[in-house]
Amino acid sequence: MRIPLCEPLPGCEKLHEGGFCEQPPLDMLEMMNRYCYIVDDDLLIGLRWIQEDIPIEGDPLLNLANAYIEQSSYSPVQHDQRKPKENMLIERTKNANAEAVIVAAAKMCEPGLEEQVAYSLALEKAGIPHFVNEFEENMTSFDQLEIQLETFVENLLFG
Amino acid sequence: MEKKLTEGIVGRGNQDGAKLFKQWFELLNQTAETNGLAAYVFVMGSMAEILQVFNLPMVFPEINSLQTAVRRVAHEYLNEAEDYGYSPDICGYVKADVALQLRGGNHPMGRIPKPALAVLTNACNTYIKWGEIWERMYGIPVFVLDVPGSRQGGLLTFSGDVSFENDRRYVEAQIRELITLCEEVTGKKFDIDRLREVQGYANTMNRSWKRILELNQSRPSLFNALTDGTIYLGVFNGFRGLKEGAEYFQDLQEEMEYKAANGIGTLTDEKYRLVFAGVPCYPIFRRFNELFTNWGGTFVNSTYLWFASGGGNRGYEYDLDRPIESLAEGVLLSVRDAMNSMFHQNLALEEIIDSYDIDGVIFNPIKSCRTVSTGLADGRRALMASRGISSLFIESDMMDRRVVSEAQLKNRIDAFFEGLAARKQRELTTA
Repeated sequence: MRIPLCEPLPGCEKLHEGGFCEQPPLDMLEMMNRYCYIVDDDLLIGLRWIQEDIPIEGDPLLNLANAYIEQSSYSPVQHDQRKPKENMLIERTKNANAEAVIVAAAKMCEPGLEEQVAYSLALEKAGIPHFVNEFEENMTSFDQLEIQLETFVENLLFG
Repeated sequence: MEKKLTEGIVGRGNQDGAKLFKQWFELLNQTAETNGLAAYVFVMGSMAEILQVFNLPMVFPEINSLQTAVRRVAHEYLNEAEDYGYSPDICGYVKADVALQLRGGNHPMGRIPKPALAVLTNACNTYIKWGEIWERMYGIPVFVLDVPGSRQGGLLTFSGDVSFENDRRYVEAQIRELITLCEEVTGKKFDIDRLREVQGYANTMNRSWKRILELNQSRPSLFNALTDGTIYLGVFNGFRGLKEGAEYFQDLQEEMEYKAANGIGTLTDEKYRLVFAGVPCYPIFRRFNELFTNWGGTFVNSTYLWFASGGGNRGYEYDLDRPIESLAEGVLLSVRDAMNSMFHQNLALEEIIDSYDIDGVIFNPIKSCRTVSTGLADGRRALMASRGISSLFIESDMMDRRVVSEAQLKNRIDAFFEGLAARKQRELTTA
């Protein structure tokens, strides 16, 4: 799951990015919504995996296969040397005019956790503030995370 | 005379294995010092047969990592990778390797060269993420060989089946791409006769490995699958397709045939024959084994010896008259078998239980390898339903000593053996 930065206070647009293919806990999303505007995300990325119309002329199976490879988004579970995922994250962040990125690190998702390191390094290099939000799938209390996120947002606003 | 012969043969496999291991790491060290080319590969589908044709020294990061645990320095590497940003929840092998790369290849056994290319399969999902780390660090080509697995547990196809032939051709096409890539990386031309030579050595190794595993059906068992077996595995992977590897396994087979013929077992007075499912607990490797041998428990086989030999346990032999086609068939059958030994461990265990006279099954899921561990609890339930055999479910780790509690392990293991003893006593009484 990926989250672009958001902003409930003026000047707080964020992107939520998490490299996790399922929906994270709704309470966690609501918590984040209290502090920032999520202007882009990678929630349920599989449902919008193919980013452009698939041509209807020619061999439909070939077109579909081609779309999966050539017209698709990116995810930690896709290996394509031509599509460095961290570069695509930076591009999406810029396209969304996000001020910061929340990298949601699902503790049960190993590919996402591995990807998170590359994301963090790339964001640091690009000078984009980011917050790594570690969570469990069956987590019910987000108080700690909320304090951390609030601090992060205040740093952005007043730092 | 007989005594002298025994002294020459018994224990030879472990001694020669240690020597070869040292020799292998000396080669890697030398390659690193001279900035030579090296290939990073994994135990399930190393593609050694192709890489040896190009004389590319093979680095097995899984083996490097477990060596840091056996040598009790893994925590230093893990901490360094976690400081760099990697989560405590991911594969410990990956983290130890990341730290090793950050240290410029410094390893307790020597210096590890940087990769010129990496060859991965889909047998473990982490392989691919691991390869991406090197791709980012070094900008090297990463070749992912996609090997079709079983469509369903226990459903196997073989040569002649339409779907098998489709799969085989799919693998063959990828192997041809790998050959082209190796030519580009090394600047050398592919030599098909050299491939035949390498395959000949691999055939000897596969044939002997299968026989060695079978010989451990002897009572008492001839080697400990957990401790001795790990040494054999190291040579099986590191020297695959090499003359030294073939000679080693011929000698090892001779040793085991001799021990079987003369009733020579391990040092343990064998009371309970066990099979191990999962990955060994390397941070306390010897001690972990002692927790079982102290009760007279011996590990006669393990799913680890199957999947960590990349399916070599099936003893596939290449047809040297059609080397590439046969290589594709062998890779498909062997890597598929390795995947089955991980994802359908209950089926592998049933096979072992039926032929090795097993008293109990030890399941050891580990925190830092979800690929192997995730299905073990379900596998245990399925096995209890199908065979009704005693089993123990403990948890440890292959790398991280912070999550290994020896006292808790001992409690569980002691209680298991007490139960086994009571069960045996009941069986004797009712017989």
